Amino acid sequence: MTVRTVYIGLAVATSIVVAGVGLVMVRAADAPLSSDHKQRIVAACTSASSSLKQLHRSDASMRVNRGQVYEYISTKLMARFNSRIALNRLDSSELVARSGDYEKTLASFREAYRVYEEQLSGLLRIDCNTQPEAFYYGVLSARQKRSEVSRTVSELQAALEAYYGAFVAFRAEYSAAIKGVSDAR
Amino acid sequence: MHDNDQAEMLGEAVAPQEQASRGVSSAKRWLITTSEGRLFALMGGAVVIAIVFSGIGLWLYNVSGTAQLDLSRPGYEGVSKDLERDKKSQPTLKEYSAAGPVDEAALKEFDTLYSDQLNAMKKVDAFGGDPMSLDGLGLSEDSVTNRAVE
Repeated sequence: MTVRTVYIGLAVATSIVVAGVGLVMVRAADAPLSSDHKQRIVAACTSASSSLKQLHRSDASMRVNRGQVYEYISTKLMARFNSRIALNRLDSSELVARSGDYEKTLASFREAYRVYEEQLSGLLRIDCNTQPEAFYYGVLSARQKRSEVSRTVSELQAALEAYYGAFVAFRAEYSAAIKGVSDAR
Repeated sequence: MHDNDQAEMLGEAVAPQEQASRGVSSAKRWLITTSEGRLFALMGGAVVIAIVFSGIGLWLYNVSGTAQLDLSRPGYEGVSKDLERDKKSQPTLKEYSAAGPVDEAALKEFDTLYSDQLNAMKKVDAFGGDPMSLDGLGLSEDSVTNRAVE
């Protein structure tokens, strides 16, 4: 048996295993609901839809508010401060790196929210009286996507803290340098 | 002389494909040579270009995330009014100047502006909690089944 044959065999076996796992996951996710469960979903349809619509509106409001603050911090604070440091020929490399991390995290937040909102909008169009199963699995999917948005918000907070840490370090270094210059005089 | 013209002169039947290609070429000739044809082609071209660019714009509207910020969409009634009300109660965001010396006053100003925003955001747990929990929405079957599915 040649080495090439062994590699091909391994690749085929891996593909079969991965496909099998995927099939099991798909089957678990789309497992049909019992009739009792479906009836319970239909009974809760009106209140659940109303709650989700309210959540949709409040999340939209939160997105706009938070988005404005994130944009303000990025463009009116970070970018301007970095520019001011560079114009004064001071070392802003750490601040620029931290603001770059923040921008990447902000892009992740925007994308995560877009995916979540699309899922929730699609969910609200489902009639849970006639399609309780689709509604149920839609809620699960939207819930998972919302937790992803929450995760990116935590990452943004961490990125903001990291930038502030870099600013504090810069300020300490600058103050020490100024003090050293004034003492030398 | 063209083979098909010869065939027609001889009274022989012309294949449907040949008839169709003759129709297309005569239509092309009409579009290019006559003034009405050119006007028709111009209007048709303008409509096609408008449809293409509208499609591109709509695609960008969805892909870029603008759709999520468009509060005029159905389902977002009243949200813009709430935001206007919130905006009036919040202080105006002050901008930091990109030009000027880097001295203690400039650093203190930045520190104040940045810290205020950082602390304000810590107070609100955005997109936190679990408002879509199955129990909260009344969609769960029972706790054992939910754990198995999730």
